[in-house]
Amino acid sequence: MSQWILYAASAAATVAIAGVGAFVAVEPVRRLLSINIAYSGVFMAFVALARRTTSGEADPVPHALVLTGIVVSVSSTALALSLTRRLVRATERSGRDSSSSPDEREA
Amino acid sequence: MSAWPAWTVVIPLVGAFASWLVGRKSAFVAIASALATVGVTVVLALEVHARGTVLHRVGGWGAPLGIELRVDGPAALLLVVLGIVTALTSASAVAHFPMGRRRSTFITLWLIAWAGLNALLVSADLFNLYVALELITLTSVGLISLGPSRESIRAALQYLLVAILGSLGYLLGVALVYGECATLDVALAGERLARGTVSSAAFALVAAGLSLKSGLFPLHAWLPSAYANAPSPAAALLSGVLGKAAFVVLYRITGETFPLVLDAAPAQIVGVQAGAAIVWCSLLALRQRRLKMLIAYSSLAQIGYMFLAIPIGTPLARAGALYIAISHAAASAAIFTATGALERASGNDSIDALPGVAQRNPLTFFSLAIGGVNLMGLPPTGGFIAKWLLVRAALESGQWWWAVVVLVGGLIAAAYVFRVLREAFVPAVPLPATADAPQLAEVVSLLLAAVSLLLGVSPSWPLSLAMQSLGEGP
Amino acid sequence: MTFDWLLDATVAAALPLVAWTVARSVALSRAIVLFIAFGLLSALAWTRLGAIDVALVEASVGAGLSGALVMSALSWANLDEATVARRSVIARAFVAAAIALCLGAVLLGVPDPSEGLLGDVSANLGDAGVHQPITAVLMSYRGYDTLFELVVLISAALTIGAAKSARLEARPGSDLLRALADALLPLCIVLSAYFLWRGSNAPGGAFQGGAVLAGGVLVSTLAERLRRPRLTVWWIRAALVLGPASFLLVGMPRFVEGAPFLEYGPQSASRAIFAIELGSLVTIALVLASFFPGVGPLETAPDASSERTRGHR
Repeated sequence: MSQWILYAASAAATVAIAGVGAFVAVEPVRRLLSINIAYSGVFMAFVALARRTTSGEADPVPHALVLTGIVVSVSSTALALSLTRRLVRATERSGRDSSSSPDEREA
Repeated sequence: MSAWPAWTVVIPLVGAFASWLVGRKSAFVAIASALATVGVTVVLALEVHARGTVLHRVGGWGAPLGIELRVDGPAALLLVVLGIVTALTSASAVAHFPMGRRRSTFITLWLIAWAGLNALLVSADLFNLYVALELITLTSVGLISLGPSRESIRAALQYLLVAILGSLGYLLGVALVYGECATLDVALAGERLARGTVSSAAFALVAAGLSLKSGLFPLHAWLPSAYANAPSPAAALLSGVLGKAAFVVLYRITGETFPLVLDAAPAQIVGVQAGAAIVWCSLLALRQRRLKMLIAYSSLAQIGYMFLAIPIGTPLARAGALYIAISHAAASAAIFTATGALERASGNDSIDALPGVAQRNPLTFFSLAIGGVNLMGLPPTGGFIAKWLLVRAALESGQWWWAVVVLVGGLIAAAYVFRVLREAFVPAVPLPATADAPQLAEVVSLLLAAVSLLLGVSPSWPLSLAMQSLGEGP
Repeated sequence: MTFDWLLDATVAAALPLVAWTVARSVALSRAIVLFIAFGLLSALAWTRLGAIDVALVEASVGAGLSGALVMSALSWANLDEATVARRSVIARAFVAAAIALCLGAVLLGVPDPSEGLLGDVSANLGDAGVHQPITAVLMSYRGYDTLFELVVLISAALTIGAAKSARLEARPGSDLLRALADALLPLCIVLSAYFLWRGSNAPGGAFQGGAVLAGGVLVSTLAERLRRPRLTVWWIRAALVLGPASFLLVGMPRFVEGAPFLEYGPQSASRAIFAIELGSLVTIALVLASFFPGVGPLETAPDASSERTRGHR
């Protein structure tokens, strides 16, 4: 099996496992971890596909795409963590307060 | 090659950075940027109307190596109308937030979101569309999180997690497309893609990801609480403008990249989802006690109308979907802004608190009424034109059942719209003591309602743009 | 079965296995450490696949910075182990295997071999002004994407910075931490400058340099060697947007005269790209450091009127 096929299979497995993990996760931080790993799997697909050239030198466009993707996904992760932290702190604070907390209306 | 497509992106970006550097007094920058951006989109639309599709090769590199911006009739129409709605909605934000850090953060994020929206509308590159979608997502989340309560934070977080899951599917689909055709250009990929497992799988992934981001049934449960718990200007922007971004990407990609792949079976599956969205979400809207939640569910139904273009598949259907998008943009922004004004006056958006609105705030009531008529799809609003196009397209293509779905949706919409309007019309005895609704918000919602009226009264120019398209036919 | 093949097979097999353990870990701290391990393994995989630039970014931003971000979440996250879903492992494994097989089959259906855009990239390297193909793609051919990527970073930083953030309760820096910071910060500065300079000819560039610089700044701030700059300072605000501003400043003069947006012209291309990379490095370092509210440099001055009335209820 050539190199790119090994990593492409690895990418498929990673996306599948992390995708299932993301859906099943209960707590936001864990969901975030699985989502990040799933994204890594997608990036692996890109980079593995870039290795199919006859010369063996990789196609640089997918590399640039993955680079951009990593940066975008770290922004999303940081934002999600910041929001989760604010939510946890706000919940703690309203739990400590004696005044009533806003009622949670679910759709 | 024309420079105007790039200007639609550059001006809001420059405005965003200028507003950031200026800080507290950024309202002036915001107004200037809004006027300039709308002006540029109008010029671009006129150019597209006269000469056809406008092209811009960024950096001088053309496809497949570089990124091309291509603006056809539908894109130009969306640029203009969504731009006007965006500009007007942000004006109400000035009334909503007192001068301070929240307002200046709103302005900067809103301008960046506008730049992302315009970039999405003009782009012809699959990965560039992904980056634009992410930009819109992150700024939307930022706008939602500016709300006052813990619920806004929760809504923002939920929106973010759902959105990045959707992008995951989209990105994987793009990887497959690139693997198959070695290009990221939308049209070039369409030429090179052959029918097979790879292209079908790519379409399935792209469609699944984008439907999740749009909130198409059954992946819609996250959307209502996100819209209802956002501050009103943000909710108006989201439901009117930014929430349509994922659909626009799907619309463009289905037409240009995947026309061969779209068999009857997958398209009908999407149709079933769309029909379920229309009927089920409209029924759910009937049960709502909060006005914002009602509008959110109604927006889900409108998304269903837009997605009906996929099973029907004719150019007329696509024009209908486009017209739904622009009329709903104006109408829902009008309704959310009006609701925001009422919320400021009475403290909540409960429908039970509505009696007396027609007496106290006639302008707001009028905007709500026009918006509601648009949701029902009655003349003289743009909603009527849009539904008429969809029904005609369904009948012409022989798929008459979609026409029935559209009409049923309209009936249910009539039920909940009349319920709201009747509550508002009932005189409240005794007249409750309320604060004054902010005047700016009332004027803005009136103007937005006027836009949706205009789209219904003189549809010829918008329609001629909507029917002019590059992907289909010679 | 050469050594190369064995190494590739091991790494390729290890990645999904670690992903599985992350999803299955009961303790959050364990999941986070395994997540960082996954990132570093990915960096190894990128190196094996010839993607050195990506490996550098993954190691610094993906595993390093994201890892540090989630690790800092341990201080406030719900560590209750009952939150791990105790669903059937068999069912999950079955579903995952099914999806993996379908995806794998589809992925292997692409044409093999395929040049991709390698030829086009190499052919135009002269006009692009740099020798390193990835830098050419990032800054020249697809510079438009990079511009938006920087705007994405800034948007996240704006939203994070807009929150009234509690300061992370950091212990006063120990002597060890101070010594570490004193050693690390100059090293990081030199390393990031090196990445920036070498980016035109070898793997490197603004992103890697920015991430390393952000790391050095963060450690120094933790050790209280650096004071936290405030967003009210005008030049910090300007520095935050310097990246996209460089794109616009470099691309605008020709654009206004009628050339396509972001066309640098073959003669001045390498200078233009270096200027943009320099600006981007500043933005990236500042934004990445600001992702750690309460620790990083972007501490916003609490706004007296709006925060007290609109604090989280």
